Amino acid sequence: MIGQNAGSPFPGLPDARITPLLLIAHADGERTDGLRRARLSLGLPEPIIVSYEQLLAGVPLHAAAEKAGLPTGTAPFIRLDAPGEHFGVERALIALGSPEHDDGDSLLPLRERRDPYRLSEKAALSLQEQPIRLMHPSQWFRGFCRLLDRIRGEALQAWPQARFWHDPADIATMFDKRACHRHLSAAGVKVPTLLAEPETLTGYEAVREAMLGKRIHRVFLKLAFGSGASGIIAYQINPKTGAEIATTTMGAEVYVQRPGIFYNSKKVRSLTDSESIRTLIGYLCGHGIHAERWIPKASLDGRPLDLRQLVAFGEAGHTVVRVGESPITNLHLRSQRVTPAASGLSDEVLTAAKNEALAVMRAFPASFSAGIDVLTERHTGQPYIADVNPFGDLLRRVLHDGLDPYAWEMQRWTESGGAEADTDTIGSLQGGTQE
Amino acid sequence: MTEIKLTIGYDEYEDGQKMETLIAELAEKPEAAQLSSLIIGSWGGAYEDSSESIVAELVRQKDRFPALRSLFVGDMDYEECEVSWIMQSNLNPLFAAFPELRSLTIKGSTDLALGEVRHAKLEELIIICGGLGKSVLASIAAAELPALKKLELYIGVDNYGFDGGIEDVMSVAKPGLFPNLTYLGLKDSEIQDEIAVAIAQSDILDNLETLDLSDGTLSDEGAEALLASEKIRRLPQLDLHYHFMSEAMTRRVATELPNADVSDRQETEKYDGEEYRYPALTE
Repeated sequence: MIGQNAGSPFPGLPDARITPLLLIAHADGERTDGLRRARLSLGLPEPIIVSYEQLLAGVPLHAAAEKAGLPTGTAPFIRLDAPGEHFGVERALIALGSPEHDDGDSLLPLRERRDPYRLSEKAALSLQEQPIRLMHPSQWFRGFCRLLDRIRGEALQAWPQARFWHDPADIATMFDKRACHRHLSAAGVKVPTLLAEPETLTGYEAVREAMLGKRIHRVFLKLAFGSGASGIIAYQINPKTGAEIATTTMGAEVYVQRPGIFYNSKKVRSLTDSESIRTLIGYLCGHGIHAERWIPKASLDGRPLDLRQLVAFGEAGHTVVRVGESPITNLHLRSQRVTPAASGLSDEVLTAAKNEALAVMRAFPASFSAGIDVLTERHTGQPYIADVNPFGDLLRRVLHDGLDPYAWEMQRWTESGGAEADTDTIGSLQGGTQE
Repeated sequence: MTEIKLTIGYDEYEDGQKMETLIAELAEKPEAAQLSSLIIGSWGGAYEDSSESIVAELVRQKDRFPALRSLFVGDMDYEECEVSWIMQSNLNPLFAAFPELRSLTIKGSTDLALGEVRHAKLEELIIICGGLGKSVLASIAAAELPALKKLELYIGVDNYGFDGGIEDVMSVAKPGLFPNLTYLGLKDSEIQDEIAVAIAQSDILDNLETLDLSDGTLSDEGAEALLASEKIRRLPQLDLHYHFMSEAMTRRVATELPNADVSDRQETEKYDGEEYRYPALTE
């Protein structure tokens, strides 16, 4: 086992059997539990957990880690997990993105843009939870990038040899669909044609002008930092009749005196009136819009599908095919999951999709896993990368090599890490830590 | 049976490829002589370019397809083009060009015309669309299709081209108009209740094997009319799937009409005191 690590493509990757895993996540929840269980099932020690709440309350990373059980002076392997689905954390990140904390934003992609209606720290901290409402996504992302930057800085100061599961800079790039598209495109990964540079898409008119000018009449408009189906509009205009259709879960309540309220409902609707469409597109453009060509997706029984492909440490793992009731296939509630074998996609198409997902991770050599959304064009089978989610490994009830995603990732780490140490060293170190 | 589907993808369309060329190329191939089913898929930019030149090419090449029995013009879904945006054209020339045709399926109704329909052997006519114009309904009401066994029409909504009323719909369901008709679909309608009421006592039901009122806005009102009909009770198949009947009515229909498909019940949306119901293909 150990011998096969020689020549590992991951130089510097710490040895899984002797390196503590420091998990920055919510203290409890499905992801944290899943990862903990996976480690125990493989005979690995429990992860050392530092919560986002602790860090956002101002506790330094190394202090929180040592309090959670990390031996002083031991460099951990640091894994961040999804910061979402936790209102307290969301609100604290929006507060961290406030003007009071302006610091140059070194990890924020497209940082020359200004956020609309910036909230003061005080205003951010007084936000109340409204489950489906979109809470200032651009300021949230600014705050998240600031936290990533802080975590990176504090980690390297405390443990100069520490490595990250995902380089914090990569997390920022992956989370920003504009930056990610640009990065993948430059790396030669197949992505849908960009409608226009995001800086030029200032609003509804600019989007339409670009569509008509380039004859890209069908596009996906995405909130640059949404996840899942959040902030996505499948938009098409008819150059002959002037008609337009926006298919989306987004909705808005518009006011004259103050900014409107935007939300994601659970239902996909098709809007055809220009005023509503203008409002929604305007919101995306204000916070940050990514606009790309609508790829006609392969379908199963008339319903379009896409794939979520998990890649970890250079290998493709779990594949989930999602069959939608609408063009927006990644809508959690309405999508049905099928196995690749039942998807109707040929082996060639599935292999091409896997290969494209692997190419994505080669474009992020300092990060070791991601859940990658792949579209397959229905006529050619050509795969296109739609989204890269560094935390896209929460895939329920699906096994690969008999392992759930977390266990498989931990096994992949075990197989891939520790390349620089020779067999004897690993053996002795392992012996030492098993006490 | 041999079947071929021709499709122009987005990139091919932008590169200037045309469906007419694909048809002409197919006509030159030896398998054209045996081809029994031809499906014309997306011709690329179907919201801009109509099927007119495709129809012309099919007519021009008709002698190359002597075995053709089934033709589908416009097999595409919303990943390629919204059904209500598909530009059709006058398909009348197809009837004379392919006298051996048994089945014709058309998707999309914008600018669709059928003209004077006369065909001795056509057994199936299916039109899938968001809204069927009354001029097309009038063509069918005046058609001579003595062999027709199946007529399936998506009636749709006024926003997407249904500009008629219940009389226009019922004009295609006159008893005796198609003496061999065994499948009648008047479906996906926003006046599905009116259709149910109007057809419930019709003599056309005496010869039908299937009445298809699915995919529309059928509610308890239409269901009552169906339940009250002895002719409906004698029908071998009644397709009501995708409907807006109440739960109680759905159970009643399922019990009293065991041959009815009442699956896929929809909830009526209520907004500002108004009730909203949408057919399946127009949501």
